[in-house]
Amino acid sequence: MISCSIRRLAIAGAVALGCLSTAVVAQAKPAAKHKPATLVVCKHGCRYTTIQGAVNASGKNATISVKPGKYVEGVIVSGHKHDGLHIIGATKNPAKVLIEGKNAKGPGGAAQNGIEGDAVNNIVLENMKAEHFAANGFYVNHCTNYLFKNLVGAFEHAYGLFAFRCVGGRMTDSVGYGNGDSAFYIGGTPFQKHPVWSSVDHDTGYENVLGYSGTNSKYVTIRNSIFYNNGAGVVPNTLVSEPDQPADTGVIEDNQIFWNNFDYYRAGSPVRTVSSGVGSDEANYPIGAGVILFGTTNWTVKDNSIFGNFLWGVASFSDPTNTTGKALNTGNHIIDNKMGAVFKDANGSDFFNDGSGKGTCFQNNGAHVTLDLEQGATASQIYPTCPNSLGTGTTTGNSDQFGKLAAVVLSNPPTKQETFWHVHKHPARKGYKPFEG
Amino acid sequence: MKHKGLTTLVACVAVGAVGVPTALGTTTAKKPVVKNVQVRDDFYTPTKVTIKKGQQVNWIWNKANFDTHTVTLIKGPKGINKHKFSSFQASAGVHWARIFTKPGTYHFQCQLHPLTMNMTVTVKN
Repeated sequence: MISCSIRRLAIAGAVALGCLSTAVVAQAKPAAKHKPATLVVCKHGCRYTTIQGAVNASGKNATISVKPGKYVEGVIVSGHKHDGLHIIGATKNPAKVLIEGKNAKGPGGAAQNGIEGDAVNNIVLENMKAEHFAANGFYVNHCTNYLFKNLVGAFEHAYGLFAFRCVGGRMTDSVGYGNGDSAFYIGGTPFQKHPVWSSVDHDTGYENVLGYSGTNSKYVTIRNSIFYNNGAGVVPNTLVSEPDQPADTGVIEDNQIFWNNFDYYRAGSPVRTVSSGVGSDEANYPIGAGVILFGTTNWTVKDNSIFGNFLWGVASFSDPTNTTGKALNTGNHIIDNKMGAVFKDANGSDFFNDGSGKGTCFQNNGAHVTLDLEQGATASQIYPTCPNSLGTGTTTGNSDQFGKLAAVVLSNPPTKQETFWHVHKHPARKGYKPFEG
Repeated sequence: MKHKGLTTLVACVAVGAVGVPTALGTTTAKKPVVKNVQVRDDFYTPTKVTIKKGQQVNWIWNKANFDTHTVTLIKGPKGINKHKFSSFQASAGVHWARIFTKPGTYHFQCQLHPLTMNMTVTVKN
């Protein structure tokens, strides 16, 4: 999970140089008009037998059509000369256009990503599957307005679909499973005066460490998606290691978030944990939670169905180990959700809040919600209705609530977190089977 | 002779000596002294390396990593080509090496983790 001032200077310099050279060329000879090319890739009988070969031959706004087949390569698309590039699987079944990471080579060793877009604006990736990569399935960074559509990212070492420091973009109709961090990730989002929002919608994430993760994630709507059988379902978070803290301003709405009880800490787990600990105390990610707002500001969780998560339905807390004080649980609204009782499939507790920060509130989540309230804490203080200005104002919350949180995340070995679970049999759900590790 | 040639080639590749760009933009087939730096989640180790002119630093991305990292030259001696001293993005199981022929202090940073991943290479005459 991921001072840009120097980089921005470098980019500004590069852009300035680019503009200068373009101007010189334009004076010497007007640019020839040409229709953006469509390049076809297939295993046999096409001009291009690798996707990388076609990328190298492509220019702005080109389309690369990839025929069904198994492509053992890590594709790198680098720079604005490829702005507007479409790489599209030629069939609607993404599994038929497979980009395979096993034995794929890249610079310096193993290929890292199925397709990587570095500083490419308006890139479109569609109808493909990537699996077994050393880093990620599909990865874009420092870009604007990407589209990931009908993609599958499976058993990547880190993320299925990954966007870093991009402004605007969409991940839709896609699936991620078996990933060592999360199925979907949008993070390191730059602060924006006039925010361009990103969307994660109509996606499915299952059997990952996390369904959605976004460190310092901003202006993101996560909606109409399904997150089940992950270690935790949806986890926007704030970490000092990556630029532009905190995770600020996002919406999680109209999702189904259930059965996120995958204990990947168990011996023999098919997925290795990304977590080697967070902070100086090496706290481990909680397992058994639907939504975790970890040090987030102004996130709204509304109109979701959240049930059958053995620890918490929705948890909101600060990170007191973050010395910048920016990982603050503040201004988060948890409203109008359907929780465990509605589905006869309880969460361990529907809600957990540590009482830190200010203004985090809970409203209209049903008459039978259950609260994780430790002895010494009061519901009106810890779970106030909206709006309010309650909370300690700092990253240190109510000591009793914090004690519970610490006990969970410092469980040693981490699989002992299961002792905090409220395990029960789930009502049957057509098309789904629970997976706990 | 054949086997010896193969052995030499393997040895050169192993230390990254073949075709490694230098600070002067040329290449050398001579086996340089190599210092290794581990690229991990989310730190370099060691964070200070001192070498002599003509020696090499080899950055190794740890296989246990999950995060993506770069080794990017932020500041170096006057006239240095920053692009040639900036790595690709990677997470795990790769390495990247550079030979330093220009004395001075080189400040490297991870573009994705700029607050926690910084290091210097000091090149002496």
